[in-house]
Order: sequence, then structure tokens, then C-alpha cells
Amino acid sequence: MSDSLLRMHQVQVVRGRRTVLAVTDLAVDADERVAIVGPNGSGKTTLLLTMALLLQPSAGTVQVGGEIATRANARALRRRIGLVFQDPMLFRGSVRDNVGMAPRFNGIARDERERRVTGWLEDFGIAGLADRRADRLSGGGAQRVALSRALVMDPSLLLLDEPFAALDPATRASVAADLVTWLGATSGAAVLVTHDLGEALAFGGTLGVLSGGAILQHGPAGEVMARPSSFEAARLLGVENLLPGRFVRDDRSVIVLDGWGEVRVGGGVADVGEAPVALIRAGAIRLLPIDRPMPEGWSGLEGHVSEIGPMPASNRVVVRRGDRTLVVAVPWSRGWLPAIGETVIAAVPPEAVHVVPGGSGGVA
Amino acid sequence: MSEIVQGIGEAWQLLISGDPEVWSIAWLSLRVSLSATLIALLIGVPIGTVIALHEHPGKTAVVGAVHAGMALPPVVAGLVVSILLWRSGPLGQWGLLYTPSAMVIAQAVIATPIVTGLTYAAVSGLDPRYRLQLAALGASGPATAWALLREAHVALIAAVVAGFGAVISEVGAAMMVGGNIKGQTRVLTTATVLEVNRGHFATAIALSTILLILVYAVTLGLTIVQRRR
Repeated sequence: MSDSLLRMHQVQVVRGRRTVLAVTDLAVDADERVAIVGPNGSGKTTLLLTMALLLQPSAGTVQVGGEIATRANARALRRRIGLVFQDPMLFRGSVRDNVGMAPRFNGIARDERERRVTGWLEDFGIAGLADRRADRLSGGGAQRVALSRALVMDPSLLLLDEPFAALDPATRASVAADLVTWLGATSGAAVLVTHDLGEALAFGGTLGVLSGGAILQHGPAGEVMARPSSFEAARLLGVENLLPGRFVRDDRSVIVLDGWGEVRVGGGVADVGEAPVALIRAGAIRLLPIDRPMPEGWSGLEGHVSEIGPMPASNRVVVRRGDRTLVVAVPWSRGWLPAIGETVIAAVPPEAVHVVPGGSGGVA
Repeated sequence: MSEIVQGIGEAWQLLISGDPEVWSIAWLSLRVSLSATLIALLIGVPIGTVIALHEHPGKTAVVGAVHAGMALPPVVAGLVVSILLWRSGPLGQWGLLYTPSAMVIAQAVIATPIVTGLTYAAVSGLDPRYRLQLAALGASGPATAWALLREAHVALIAAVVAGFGAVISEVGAAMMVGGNIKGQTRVLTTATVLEVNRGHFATAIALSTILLILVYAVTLGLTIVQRRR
């Protein structure tokens, strides 16, 4: 762990009497990409500012390149870190002036400065804007300038605070693509914080879940998505179905979901205690007519269709049984779509059922 | 009413005739007020910026003191400077009382808290992420302050306008430390007071008109700077 580029250990940030950030241990390796997803107010920006050594934690240590950050060395260590906010935060002057700020502040000679600035403007496709006033740029152009400005010193760590949130979807995709290209071409590490799960997943690599100032879960994105460690993490990771139940066998291979019945569990069981909750993603469930045989080993939950609505790549079908509901995603291109009111079987493969401890906020 | 018309006519006459006395009074007014504003700028902008950028337990008290200074009555400033510059006062040996320099000092005392307070407000009002962004880019303290002042330039020019406006228009301090000596320390405001006391309303209106033209010219110049990007 000591060769991590950045490491936060027992870090706490306290404001007034409230602990707004409490990170036990978080390490970012030299070429790692980390996306941290969390709702508004979860401490994302505080986390990023602490990583950027712009916020002195109330307790704990932040190490950059193995060196513990202090007030004395923070400015020198920050040379290795680039930071981009949601708003581009461009300053008065031209695009070239803005991108050249860090080299100027760090005493890089004019010729070298010009070379670097021109190179980055070309890489981000904004060389033509070099002499334009920075405050006259479009949202996408301005964010490209902000990215170029953060990268011009070749940082080992790039920190991004929802940098695409203010952009329209098309611009977002194009700026994000340029960024991913850069990340692929360098050995630098990058940390993205965002409230948008889709953006976090597109960033790739490691995924962290932040809530109430604490990192609930942290690991390879695929693993975290497949096996949220808690009710709260599942909620933040967009799991549509969080169904309370109880185990009926000692081996915990079957859970009886309240109001639904038995379902086989093949996706793993976290330490669940008294109130287990089964997590089932809408996309993993298949809807079948009542008379159709189920695939071998799957569990069937019977109910009637109460709602059908569109999602980006599928229809969102709500299956109801009493006061319980189950959300199923039926892809547009395939899958049988029942009519509202029709009785159906929601077929659940065991590997799609993952059980975690119940949440404090209650479940539907 | 006829006196107003006569006064404006006389002002016009004085302006186009190039009356040397009037021009020297107008020039002294401008020189004293611009010098005082410049001093206030050189002192007030750095102090206002430092106050805005540093957090400490006494900050509210400090800002409160600056705000009180913004409401400092010119006669009080005049009184203090008079006492300091009085022949037997602590700075009496400089022999500045009843000179334009004394007027510049008194007016700088009036304008400095105004420029300081408005600079503090301008810098404090910036999005705090600008400062974080500058720190992330490796800016030193002075470089950070300079970049933030550039961002706040619209409000800063307003601070200069307010400082200049306070001193070009004041009469109490100029009278007390300058003495309204003809050909030496008489400025447009003190001359206007004198002419009104003498019952020369037309001349007073003429001097006031010139004062207004000067104020407009200077503030227009500052506005042009303010609107330039």
C-alpha cells in the first residue's frame, strides 16, 4: 500500500460539531481510475478537496507519493495534482492565459510554457480558441480549457468534481471521450466524484460509494455493482428492487421474500443479521406468461402488471402482488411485453439475488 | 430661477474664457482628490484583500472597524489631521498644515476605509472556488490576490469611484486642513462655500457646474476602464 500515489488514512473533516468526512483508508494507485458516486451532501467535494490538499483534515493523514502532506509541503505536493470543478472557473483573459496559469505560477520559462500550452490546446481540439476571451466560450469549450489547464503540468493525479454535470448530453459525451483518451494515453491516476452513476461507470476502473461522509464500499466497478455491500450502497448503486425477507434454511440458499414467496439465492450473502434484504436488479429479471415453463433453477414470483413505462433502453414494467411491487426492465429489442393487468411470472435467476443487511430507512 | 440660468451662463463663460483662477482651482481640486484616491487605492486594496483572504477570530471586529471608517465624518478626519499637523502637534515640524499636501492626507484618511471596505466586499463576494482553483494551480499568496482582484475588477472600480466621490465632494476636511487660501488651497467645494457666503450665487453655481463636469469626466473614465475586459 505504501507505493500508492495517494493514500488517506483515518481522515476526518469536522465542521462545527458535524463530521462531514470520515475515511478510514483509501488508496489510489499510480495508474488507477477511481469514480466515487454519492448523492448531494454526501461529502464528495470535501473528499476531493482533501485529496487535493486544499482542505486540511481535522484528523488523519493524506499521503501523496509516500509523503505525508503538511502545511509546509502542501504547495509543492499540489504540483502533482490537477483539479477540475463542475464549473470551469476560468479567469479573466484569453484561453491561452488560462491554460498557462499553472506553468506561470510554477516559474516555467516562457518558451516551455508556450510549448506546453499549445500542445494541450491541440490535444483537446481547442487550438483555434487560443486567443479568445475565456468568458466568451461555450460550456463544452470552457470545460476543455479547464481540463487543459489542469493537465498542462502533467499531474500524476487528476481530480474531477462532476466536471461534466453542467454540459448537455452530446457535449458531455465528446468532452468525456477526449478525457478518457488522455487517461488512456498516460500513466496518471484520476479520481472522479459524481452523483451520476452512469458517469461513474463510464469512467471505469474502481468504483466507490460515498454516503454521509463515509465510503460505504470501494472496489472494482463490476464487483461493486454486482454485490453492493449494504442496503444504502444498493440504493445509491441504482438497484431497483430491495426486497425484505427471511432465510428459511441454515445454508441461506433460499430467502422468503415478504409478500412474494421463496427465491433461490446465488449472488452471495453479506453478513445480514436479523433483517435480510434481497437485492435484484430490474434487468436481471425475465417476464414470462403464466403458462410458460421457467428456466432450470430459476425462481418465479407471480403478480400482475400494474404499470409500463419507457426507460432509455427498455420498458420499465411494474409487477404488483398485494402491496408489494417489483420493477422489471424488458429490453425494447427483445422480450415479451405483457398488457397492464395481465398476470405474469417474474423469473429470477439465483445468481441475480444478492442479500444484504436491511436498511435503517425501511423498505417498500 | 434667473440666478440659476445666470450661474450656468457664467459657468460657461468661465469655462470657455479659460479664467486662470477658476482653472487653477479646478486643477487643484482634481489633483488633490486624485492623489488622495490613489493613496487610498494603494493602502485600501491590499488591506481589504488581506482582510478578505484571512480567517481569524477577530475578523468581525476588524471588518466592523473598517465599516465604521467608511462612515467617518470628513470634519472628524479634518480635525484629526489638523491636530497631527498643527505647529505644536506630533507632525508639526513638517509644516504641512494649510497646504495641498495636508488636504491630500485628510482626504486619503476619508477615502482609505471606503476603498478598504469595498475591496473586502468585492473579494469576499467571489466564488470561493476561484481561490481553491488558484491554490490547485500552484499560485503563491500574492499571485492569488492579484488574480482574485482581477476577477473582482468591476466591484474594485466601483470602490475607486466611491472613494473619489467621497473626497472630491467633501468640504469640511479641505476647509479645516487647507484653510481655503486663495491661490494655494482653494478648491471647488471650499470656493463654492465662500461664494455662497458672499452672496455670489452665480459664481457658486458656475463653480458647482465645473465640479459636476469634473466628477462626470473622472467617473466616466473609470467606467470605461470598468467595462473593458
